[in-house]
Amino acid sequence: MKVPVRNLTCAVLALTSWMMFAGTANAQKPAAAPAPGEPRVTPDDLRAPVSPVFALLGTTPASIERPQTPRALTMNLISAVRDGEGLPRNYALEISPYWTTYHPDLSFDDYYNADVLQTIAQTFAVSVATTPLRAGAVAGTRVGTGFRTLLRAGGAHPQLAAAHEELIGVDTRIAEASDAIPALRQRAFDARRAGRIAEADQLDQEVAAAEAKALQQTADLRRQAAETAKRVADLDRNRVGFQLAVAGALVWDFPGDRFEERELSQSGIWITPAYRFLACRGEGTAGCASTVDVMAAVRYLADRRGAADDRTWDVGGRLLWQLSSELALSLEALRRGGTSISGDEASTRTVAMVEYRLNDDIMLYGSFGKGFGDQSDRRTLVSLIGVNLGFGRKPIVDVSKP
Amino acid sequence: MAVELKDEYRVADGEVRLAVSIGEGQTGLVSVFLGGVKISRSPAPIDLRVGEGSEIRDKLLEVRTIVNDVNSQTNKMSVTYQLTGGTSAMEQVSRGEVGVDNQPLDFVAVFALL
Repeated sequence: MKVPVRNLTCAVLALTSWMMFAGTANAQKPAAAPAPGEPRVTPDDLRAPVSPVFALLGTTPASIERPQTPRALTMNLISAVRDGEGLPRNYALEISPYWTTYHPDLSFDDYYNADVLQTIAQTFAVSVATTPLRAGAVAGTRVGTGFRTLLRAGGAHPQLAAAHEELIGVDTRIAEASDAIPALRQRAFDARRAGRIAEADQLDQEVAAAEAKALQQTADLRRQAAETAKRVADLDRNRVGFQLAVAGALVWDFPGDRFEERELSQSGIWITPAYRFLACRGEGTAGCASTVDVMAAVRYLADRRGAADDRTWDVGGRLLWQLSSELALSLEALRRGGTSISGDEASTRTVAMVEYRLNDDIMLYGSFGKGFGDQSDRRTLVSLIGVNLGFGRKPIVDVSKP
Repeated sequence: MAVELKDEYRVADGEVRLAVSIGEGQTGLVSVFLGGVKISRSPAPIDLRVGEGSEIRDKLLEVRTIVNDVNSQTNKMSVTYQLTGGTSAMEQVSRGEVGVDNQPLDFVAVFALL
């Protein structure tokens, strides 16, 4: 990874400041380590995971197969089974069935104004993964499958219409470079119908040359079109209004790779309704990068591995204020109940978080608040800071530990 | 490299119409030329009058569409052409896919009006 020196310096300075802050907080009360199986407190905790089966397996696959056609899916599965000489041990696959085939009737407007059934079709994704099972002396395989979909996808971002208009403007300039070609092709057509074959062949060659020249002349405009199209696609990922995400996953353990001894070891379901709106006042929507997300979350996780029979319910909410494209503040409250809590008593976690993106590769974040009361040593202070160097959402440098 | 389609369309005495739409939730610009002369240029979808059969016979109807990959879910693209008013209705679909996200792709369809 290449990191500019200036940004790296900023990162180190910011990290040092956070360490001093954390040191002060930790001097009063030691930070609580995350409970086994509980993810660290990051701003993504409440969201339905993009790949629920990976969340349940607690794994981040090095590579995920994403076949784009039914034929590619079939070939991929055959290849995985053949390479693994049976059930593959480290395999991950994600697929959105709807997008494996063509949909000529789905217009740009239809895509944005989909009803509930069409929204489910467009956003439904399935994931499958396997990992090695190491339960005592018995080796085997863990197999998980999960899904994620939106029931409501939100509305078009207010900046979409302007970006789309700009894109059509660039397309118009690209199209103008080819305006002379149809007349040339008509002349070739006329010559061929009149029996002037040599002339028609010559004109056909001129058409081909004109096409190549127009493509070459518009190279810069096509790059500009691609950048503008990317902005439109980014706005598609940042829709506003009401969204409702649902995700679920199941994991089976196969000790000794014997089918007869399979056991449903883990299951989970996530339901996340959210509402997003732009938070810029008096300046219109153009260039506004400030948003507010109000989110609720319901999560159920069951773990029956070995002798365990833990069932955990989480219900809560989160308020996220994205002040700019770099800085975000959020407040999260989560009520937890279930058989994994000491004495079956419910507990609450309330955490404030700040996240600052230095550039595309480096992100700093910190959180402070009260954790769940299910720690064996009763330490419930959450005081965590981290720096994400662009390899994933989880910090690789954790300075919360002594 | 453009996705090309060539076909013939038999006109009659009535009015011929052309409809062009872009699928896969993508967007783009459609330019229509009759006999080498531009008769329309606007964002998809379009539905326009090409002309009376006797006026447009023996001409080429060329449809040039620039499709932009704006759908974050897929890089697939398709353009549907519908011709009506001739001896029979015709529908043709051209399909393509970009290898790199957000790249534009040209679709060119040429119909010989006979």
